[in-house]
Amino acid sequence: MRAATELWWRLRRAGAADNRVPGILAVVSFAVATAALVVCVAGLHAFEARNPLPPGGLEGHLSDEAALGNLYVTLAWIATTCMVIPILTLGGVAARLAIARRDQRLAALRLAGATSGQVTLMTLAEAAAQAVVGALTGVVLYLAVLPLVARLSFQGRPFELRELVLPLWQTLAVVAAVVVVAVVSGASSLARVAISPLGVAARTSPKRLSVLRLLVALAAGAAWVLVITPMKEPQRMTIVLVLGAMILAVNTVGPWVVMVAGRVAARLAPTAATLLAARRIADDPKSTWRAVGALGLAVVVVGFTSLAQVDDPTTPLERYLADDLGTGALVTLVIITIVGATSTGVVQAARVLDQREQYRALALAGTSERSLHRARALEVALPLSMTIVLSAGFVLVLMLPFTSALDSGLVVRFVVTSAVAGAVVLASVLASRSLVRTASRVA
Amino acid sequence: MSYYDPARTPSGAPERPAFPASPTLAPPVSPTVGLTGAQAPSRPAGAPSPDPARDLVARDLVMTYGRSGASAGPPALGGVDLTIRAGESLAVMGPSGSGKTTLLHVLAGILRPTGGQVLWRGRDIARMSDRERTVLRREDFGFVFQQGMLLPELPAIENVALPLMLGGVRRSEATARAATLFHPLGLSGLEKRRPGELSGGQAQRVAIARALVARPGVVFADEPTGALDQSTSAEVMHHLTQLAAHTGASLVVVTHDENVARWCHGVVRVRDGRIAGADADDHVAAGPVQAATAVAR
Repeated sequence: MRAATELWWRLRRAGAADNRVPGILAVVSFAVATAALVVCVAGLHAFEARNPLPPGGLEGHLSDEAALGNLYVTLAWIATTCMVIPILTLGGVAARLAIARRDQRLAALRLAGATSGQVTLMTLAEAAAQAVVGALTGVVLYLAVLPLVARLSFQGRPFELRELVLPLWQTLAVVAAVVVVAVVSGASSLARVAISPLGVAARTSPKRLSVLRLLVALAAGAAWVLVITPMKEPQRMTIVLVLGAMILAVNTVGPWVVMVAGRVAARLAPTAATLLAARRIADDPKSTWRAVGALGLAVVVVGFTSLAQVDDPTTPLERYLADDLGTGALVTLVIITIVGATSTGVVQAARVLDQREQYRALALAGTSERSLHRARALEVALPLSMTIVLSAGFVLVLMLPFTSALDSGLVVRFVVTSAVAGAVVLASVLASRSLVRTASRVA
Repeated sequence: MSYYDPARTPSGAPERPAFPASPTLAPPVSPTVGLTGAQAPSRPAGAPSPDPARDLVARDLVMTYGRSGASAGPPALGGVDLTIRAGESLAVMGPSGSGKTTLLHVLAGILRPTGGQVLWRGRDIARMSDRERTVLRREDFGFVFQQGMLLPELPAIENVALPLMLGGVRRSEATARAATLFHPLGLSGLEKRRPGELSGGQAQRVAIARALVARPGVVFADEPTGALDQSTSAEVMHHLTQLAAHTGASLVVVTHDENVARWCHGVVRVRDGRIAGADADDHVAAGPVQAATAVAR
């Protein structure tokens, strides 16, 4: 145990130079994930502090004002639920990055006689170290964006800084949670990698995802209809739990849909760039979905909240509610877009690093840098546009019966917002352009 | 459409492989060590006759890395003259750091030489723009690397079709043309396999198919058997030389392995950035005039 720790520390220092880029990517991901998570928790915290439950809790009859306040807290919980899963996904992406990049070094260690236990320990220590550095950076990032968050106005007044500052113990709890996520997803992906002395298994035909995923999603949909809809006044926690389950279900079926779409696209792809993009999507539908799934969900949330505010507000408080719904949904979308863009950018950068040899070979054989960029952009753009169009279409179709009430200005705003969010995620691919340029430099 | 009849795959380098489809290629028999100008008796005979319009000609190639001036190190290439005739195969040998890979990169238009010319079909590659050289590499040249460098996410057939598609050929046609290469290379039935599901030798044969699918004028191979054992290596060289000969492509193989060099028509040896010797002297000359004379032998 001690020997392994010492060796890890030495290797860490020695290997710092050539592992710098993946290390930085992992730390950046952990930082963004932590910052987003702290902002979410802080927001939730602020809403709960603003809207304390009256004595007697929810049992007694609530005044209109208290009921409205309670609604705000429920909505904050829903928004947080929507955001937490993509944020944790980003943490997982970072952990995989911290580990996958080390395959060769780990195999060399195994050859040199390290036991598999020692190697596992060293790898997890590495992931945890990066998570700690990233999470602490994330806290600094959160403090930096606080003034910006404080300018948001809900219930007729902007946040005060002290409403948004989390108690130290809660901040530390978030940092600890990020580190735990890093170690857990690191351990689970290590178990799959199974480091042998001869390195990891080469890439083979991907296993097809099971159709079971579709059934799981259908079951969740049925649960929503059967459990939540009949409830007159469902408990907040029930809503949060079922919503969480719904999101998980959508995340289960999402990769399957992406895989099917990728396979169809690969069969039909007319050009080299499209073919490459489609094969990559079909090969790794889970990571594709990780990049676009959250955004699809955010588009749905924004769609419903921004288009549904059609009731004529009668009291000032209700007027606030209508506006606040739009603001809240937009904030959710912004956070999810940032997290999704980070995820996408990091996954793309890691892929270029993994395949730099192949990139160089393609360039030597006369593939223009433009074609390489094109294939990568398509790889993100195809599933992204599909997800956004499907999500936005889904919202608009559900809203169709209320066309009389639909405000065309709002519809335009919704469509533009969704498109902008998609564009931001797509733009994250640009961040790794210089890596492609370096990898494909022939001379 | 088939590029050539399937030939029996040799199992070991020193054995005499049967090449029914190409009587001009004699099999290797003994190691070549000659540094003189004499043609090794064991070398495949029947190198094609010279054709200035189709040969790849290097004249007085100089390559210096780093800044020019006093701080520059010794040149990686110090005045190399070389002629690779159309349809001919040439091994470039030399110790590590001798400049053989630099020579290959300059000949292939990957590196721009500090001085000298590389003439291909009447044009000087050394003077072409980066863009022109990219197009040239895509359309006129093929490449085989030490390890297949196949894209892991594409099945073998799509890896082979890729250069054609990048060149604008329709997918159905590109795939059809790629498919014709699988049988002659002994790869039938492996079309749908991913590179990760192929053995080293199989992957290298897929790489050969990819290098030749666009019917290039020259195939450049950089240590194509560097990661393979002797018998697999012989098998790969067999396919490489055969397929190149049948498509009329010239072949330049950088290697440190005499057994690999023996599959080629000629060998040049590079030392300290200069040609130190050749097994077939008509590849090498001191200058353009002599080169022309030598080629016209």
